[in-house]
Parts: sequence; structure tokens; C-alpha cells
Amino acid sequence: MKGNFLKNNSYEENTHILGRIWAIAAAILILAYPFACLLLFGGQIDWTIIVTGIGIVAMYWVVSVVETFTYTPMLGSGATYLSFVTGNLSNLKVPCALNCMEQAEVKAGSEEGEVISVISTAVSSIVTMFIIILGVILIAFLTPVLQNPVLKPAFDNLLPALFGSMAVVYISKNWKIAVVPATLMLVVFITASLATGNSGLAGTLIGIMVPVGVIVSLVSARFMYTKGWLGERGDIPTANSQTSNENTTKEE
Amino acid sequence: MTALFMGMISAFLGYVFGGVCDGLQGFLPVFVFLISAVLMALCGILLKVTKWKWINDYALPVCMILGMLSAIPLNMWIVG
Repeated sequence: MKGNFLKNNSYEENTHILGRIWAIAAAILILAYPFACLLLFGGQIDWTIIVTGIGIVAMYWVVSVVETFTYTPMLGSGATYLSFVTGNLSNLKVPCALNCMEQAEVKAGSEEGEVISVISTAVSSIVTMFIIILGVILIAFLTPVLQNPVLKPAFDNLLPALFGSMAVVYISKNWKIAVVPATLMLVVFITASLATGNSGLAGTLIGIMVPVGVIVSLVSARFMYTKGWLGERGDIPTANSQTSNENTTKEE
Repeated sequence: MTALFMGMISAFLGYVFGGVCDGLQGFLPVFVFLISAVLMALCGILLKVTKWKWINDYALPVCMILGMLSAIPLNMWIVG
């Protein structure tokens, strides 16, 4: 009965039905963990800490809502459900999906982009889970390697290495769009770091600044587009346009 | 859609400069970012010159790992 019900729906409808079911199931399971621990180990709830934490939780609600609106257009609906359950969006799932769409020469938001995005996010999630399981099994052997003071700088600089590689691809093809958000973000992070003297602040700020950067980028790109600074209207260069143009030339 | 990507990448570009208050040690992520970017640019040039399509498939992970590895000698140099 359920199978027939799903069969009669479109891919898009099924994605949302199954996505909501699994997202709610995952949320229940994740939220049940602390209560299960309380029951199993007979712990007590410290309400003072809970009350103190509500302020932080409220901030994450705002960030989560903005993140949903920011990442959904990039990932598509299927990959959004998957990645919001499995986590690590900005440092794993989004770069993975973007790179796969770039490699497959498809545009985000298109049907092809949706398929590539779902497959890449699913593979990324499976590989992540596999690596985590492997890490847990081999934790005794891996701990000295992971905590090695010589190797520590390499692990600490995963994000700069990832985004350095990605930035050169995207910024070189769309440098006009990058000027305003990149300048603003540099000013914000450098000022925040120098003004507070706290290098750890960047880690807290990034969650908020990604949506801010996206909004600034969208507004400035729209402005430049209407002014005709990005070339002729309807001719906004995309990350794939260069490769697509090369292919068109070859076909001709 | 391109503007969305640029917004996200710009935020992480700013993020790598978040430790500048720590002096030269705080510039380590900036150096790693730049090395990774330069390596990726070199891969792009190599791809154009040689037309080896396989470079495109492995450029990102190779540049990322080399970028991360570059942090080790850079850290040794900075710390002294």
C-alpha cells in the first residue's frame, strides 16, 4: 500500500515525504540520546546548566534557519535532507556536492544537479560513517598519530587547505562577484581578531558569517548584474561556463 | 547560484585570517590557504597545457593534502 502510494508520486514529492520521515526519525533518535543516558546511568539533570544553555540554543535556532535557506539552493532538496541529518555541511557535504557538480559539468538547481548532489552527499555520508567506524575500531592505534605534535598543524589546517583549493577555482572564474563579499569578510574577521585579541572567535563567527556572506554576495551580484558590470544580461559566468564553452567549441 | 557559492567561499576566506592577532603563528592558516590555492592554480595550468583530463579528477584532494602537509614545515619554521 505504502509502496503504491510512493510509486504514484513524483521524485520530488517522494523526496520530501521520505526526507521528512527520516529527518523527524533522526531528530527523535538524536534528542533521545541524553535521556537514554540518564535512564541507563541514573544521572541527574542540572537545570542551572539547562537554563544557561537556552541562550546558546536560541542563537543556534537562528543560525539553523538561515543555514537552511543558504544551503538548500546549493544542494537541492534530496541532498539537503541527507546532509542536515548527517551534519558537517560547510566543511564536507557542500564542498563535496559543489565539486561533484563542477566535475560532472552540471548546474546546481537543475535536475542533473539534483541527482549529482544527492549521490555525492550520500557517498560522502557513507564514507564518513565508514571512516568513523574504522576510527573507533582503530582508536588505540590512531591516537598517537592523531595527537602527534608534529602532525597536529596539518590536521588543524584542513579547512584552509580545502577552501584554498576551492577558492582559486571559483574566484578565478567569477572574480567580479567575489570582490564585495570577500573584502567584507576579510575586514570583519581581521577586525574581530585584532579588536578582541581572541583567535578562537573566528570559529564561532563562521557559522553566522556564511549566511551573511551569501546574502551580501547575492545583493552585490544582483546590483552588478542590473548595472551590466557582469557582462551582458543573462550572461553571468558560472563555475561551469568555461568548461561548457570549451565543449561547445569542440562540438562545433 | 554562483553568488551563493561565492558568499560561502568568501566567509571561509575571511575565516583563515581569524588568527592574525596571534602574530606570525596566526598567519599559518593563511599560508596553507595560499599554498593550496597556488597548487590548484598550477594544476589548472598543467591541465590546460597537457590536456590530461585525469588531473581534473585528482587536483582538489591532492592540493588539499599537500596544503595540509605544508603546515608541518611551516609550523616548524614559525615556531623555530
